[in-house]
Amino acid sequence: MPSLPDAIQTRALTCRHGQKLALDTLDLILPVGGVHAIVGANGAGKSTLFRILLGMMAPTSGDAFALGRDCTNLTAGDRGRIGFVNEEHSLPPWMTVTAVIAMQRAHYVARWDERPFDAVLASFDLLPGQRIAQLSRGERAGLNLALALGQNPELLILDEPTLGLDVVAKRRLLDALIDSVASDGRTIIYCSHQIEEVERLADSLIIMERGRLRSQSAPDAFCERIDHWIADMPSEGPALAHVPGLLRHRRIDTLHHYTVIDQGEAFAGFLHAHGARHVQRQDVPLDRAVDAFLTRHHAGPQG
Amino acid sequence: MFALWIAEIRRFRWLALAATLLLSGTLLFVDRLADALLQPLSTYRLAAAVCALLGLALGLYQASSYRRTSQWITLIHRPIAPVRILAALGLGGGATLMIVTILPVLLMLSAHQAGSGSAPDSRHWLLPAAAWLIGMIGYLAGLYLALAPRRYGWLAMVPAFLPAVSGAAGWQALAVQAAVTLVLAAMVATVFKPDLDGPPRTGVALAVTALAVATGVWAVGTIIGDLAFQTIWIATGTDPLNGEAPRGGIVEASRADGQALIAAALMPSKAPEARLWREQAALSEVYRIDPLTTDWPQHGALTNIGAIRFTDPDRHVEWTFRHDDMRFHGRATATKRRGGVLGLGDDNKPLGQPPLVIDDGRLLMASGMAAFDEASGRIDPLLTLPPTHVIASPPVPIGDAVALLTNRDLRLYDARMLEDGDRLYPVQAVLPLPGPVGSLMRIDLIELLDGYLAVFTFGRDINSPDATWQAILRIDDRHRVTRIAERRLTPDYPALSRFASWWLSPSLATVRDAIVATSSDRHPLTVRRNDPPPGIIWMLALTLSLASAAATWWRAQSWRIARGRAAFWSIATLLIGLPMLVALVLIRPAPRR
Amino acid sequence: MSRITPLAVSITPGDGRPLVRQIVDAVRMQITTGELATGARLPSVRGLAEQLGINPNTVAKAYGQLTTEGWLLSQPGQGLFVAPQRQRLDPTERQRRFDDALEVFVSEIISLQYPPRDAVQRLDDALAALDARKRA
Repeated sequence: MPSLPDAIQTRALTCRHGQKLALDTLDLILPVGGVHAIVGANGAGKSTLFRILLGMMAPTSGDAFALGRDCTNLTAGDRGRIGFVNEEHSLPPWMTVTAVIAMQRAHYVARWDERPFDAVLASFDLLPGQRIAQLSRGERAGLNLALALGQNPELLILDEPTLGLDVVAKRRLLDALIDSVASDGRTIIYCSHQIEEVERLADSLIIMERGRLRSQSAPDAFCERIDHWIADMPSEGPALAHVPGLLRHRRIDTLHHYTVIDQGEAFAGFLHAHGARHVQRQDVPLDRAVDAFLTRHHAGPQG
Repeated sequence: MFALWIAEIRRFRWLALAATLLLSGTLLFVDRLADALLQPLSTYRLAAAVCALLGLALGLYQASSYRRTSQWITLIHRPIAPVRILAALGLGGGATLMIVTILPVLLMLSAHQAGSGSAPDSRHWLLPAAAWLIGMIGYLAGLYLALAPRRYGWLAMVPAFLPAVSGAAGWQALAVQAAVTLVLAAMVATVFKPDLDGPPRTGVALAVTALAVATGVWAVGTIIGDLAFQTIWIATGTDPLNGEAPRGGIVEASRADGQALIAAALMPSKAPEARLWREQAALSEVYRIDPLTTDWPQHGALTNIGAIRFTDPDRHVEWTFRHDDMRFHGRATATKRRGGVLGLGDDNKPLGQPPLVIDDGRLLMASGMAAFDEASGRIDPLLTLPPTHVIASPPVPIGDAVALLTNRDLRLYDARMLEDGDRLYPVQAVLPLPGPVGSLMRIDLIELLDGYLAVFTFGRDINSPDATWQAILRIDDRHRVTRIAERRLTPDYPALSRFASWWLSPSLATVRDAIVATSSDRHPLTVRRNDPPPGIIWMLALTLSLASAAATWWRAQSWRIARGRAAFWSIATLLIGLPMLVALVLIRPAPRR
Repeated sequence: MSRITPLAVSITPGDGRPLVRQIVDAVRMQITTGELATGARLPSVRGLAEQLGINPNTVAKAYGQLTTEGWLLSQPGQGLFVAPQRQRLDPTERQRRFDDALEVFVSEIISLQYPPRDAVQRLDDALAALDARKRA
């Protein structure tokens, strides 16, 4: 039996803008089903990746496939299976709410699913005659998500959909998304800087940095790799370059705080070997883990 | 697609309504002040510019609203092929433009038809279509300019100005406009793709874009080069137009007064009477004949070159020419009632070509002249030329004779011909033109004791390949014509400047000249004689083409463009020259993947 | 069909523990204290996901772990129920786990410098209170 194509597959995907390398031979495979969260600092290449996946930009080299289809040659049928929501929630500002909904229904008439559309729209109080330009950002976001879910896509890509939304709108958006997660065979790709949202939604966590893939695993599996050690060391302690798996080091009062990755219990032995009297291990919450991971090359206060 | 089209129309509906009302009001108001159908060409050009600008504004506005990445994604990422999305947008804008351009003109024409102002010809009913087509050209150019990469988008639109210079009239003008519209639509289709900032994808799209950009580079390059050259030359103080004109040059000849010109022209002559004539030239009056620089109105043209109405003061009737039956139609000045048809002669025969009304009731046509006789209230033919001849200048009185320049010769008549016609006073003397009338700058004529002496100076366009020379013809009292002298005039501008559009791209210049040449039988006054490009210009053009082709090949290789395509580019550069290399650099085609 | 017992758990995203562990710990606590009686029916995966505002797969994982460890029992077609509780660990394992928890407790409070007797008293009170909830 032939296996289903992956939701997303890229092979040595590279995208160069002048001197800057937005994507650097990215090899990424996202299997069908579940919520994949993509996390990374600004400039990590996430937006570029989405533009290439939607065919809006041609890569400098390499291949990208969405639902098994070549992204540089998406047909109208392919586009019908892929949904996209971005942070600006761009809808034509001169159209009315009814007109936008009617047009979306007309486009996707074969696949339209009224239930999630109604469910999302119900929690936003939109008048039919309102123009898009008159809606607040949160209302536009709700409408946009409702339209995307009504389209019943096999692959739904969301690029920072809650950016700039107030607490209430954010909550509603996430609830609506969670409702749709259980649909069979649908893949959701969720890109956000809000680690709390990522923790709630994600089945797998993908970390991108400078155009490359740095980590791909379940969120709790990622957290388990990272430990926070507090040690009472004599004087300066070991040279930072010799600390295995070091992500971050801080010295608070007289104690040394080490955030390390992939070290396990053996790190206690390392610390003791360098003269630590008392060592303590702590779990790291996801947002700190991701933050430490992404800033490991930064020179910070070493104090 | 249908939903999108309707949405776009609805988007512009208030704008369309406001613009239509404004334009209709303005047009009807202006028409009340000065009859719109009688306006000269310049007024129509202004109206055409307004239509084009309206279209351009609409195209820019519509496309800019979708250009930002997030809006572009929303537009393109739907289960409809991009070309159909473009069709929806284009039809929306086109329908809006249709209402805004056609309705005001239709209203104006209907007002005329109903009785106010001059009655519209069938040619005038083509005006709404022309207004819309010109608006569409502006609209499609606006779409292209907003969507194409800035570095070459504006250059690719330069060839859209073709209709303004094509010289076609009537139905043919509409055909040219329609053809340009279709080509522009195709070009917008090449740029309307999901990957907006990338180069055109298919080979055909790339070729069309490259050709358009290269043509734009050639046209703009020629103009800018010319401006730069002239500025530098003026700055150094030695250019002939602003300073002292070099002796024996065309600029000197263009400015000289008649006596000096004839004296200078007679210099190389070895004829025995030359000295005598030089003295006579210093004493006698020199008559000057300048050829017409405009063209004759064509039957069915949408616009008017000159005046087509005259008034009969005694009977209080104004007569307006109509192309439909090629006769004048009258209207009472007091009551504005229409009635009466006036043609040639007793049986009101239709005129052969559309006339120009010149002062004192005379009508000038391409193949002759006619006059309105106030006493009889009839138009009588005054002068009829053979079918191969076309009048090239209004008649000029020369003493007690009158000279009429045609495209083939200079004809001398008794002055009374202007009153009583050429039946009674047929042509007395004919001086065949020594060169084509399109290159003729001026004729200077003096009366001799026995006959006339005429100097023909050729080289009308000074900074161009026009051949620059002079010929002196003499006609004696037995009407024999002898060529007295001939001399070349220095062009005053260097060959590099005169042939600039040629050496920059020999093939494009040749195509342009061929197009002009094919229309010359309908425009006999434009036939010219050009100097061939001198050898050094040939060498320059060849060297430039070869160097550009080599540079194209090298650049294509450095950008890792597929071999086959790189070869195409190089061959195209060899054929078209430096502009194609510039087009390659600006378009920056995608490397092989 | 038996009724679903309300499950009053909450999760804190910024907490050091992964969400799965938070749910597992909370359910285990509720079963141990008796708030969730044996045989009580738990909310469905979707229901709990909606209640907590998290991915249903996370809830499914937590339920799966609890079922594997023997805290819950799945009746196909009927739902997920609290399994009868019995001691599942052998004495060595129990001892080891107790020692681990003790060490954690001690190290957590070491800096507080409580007099040992007071610390023991406080511990005694806490366990007694837990017991009281269980019986209630």
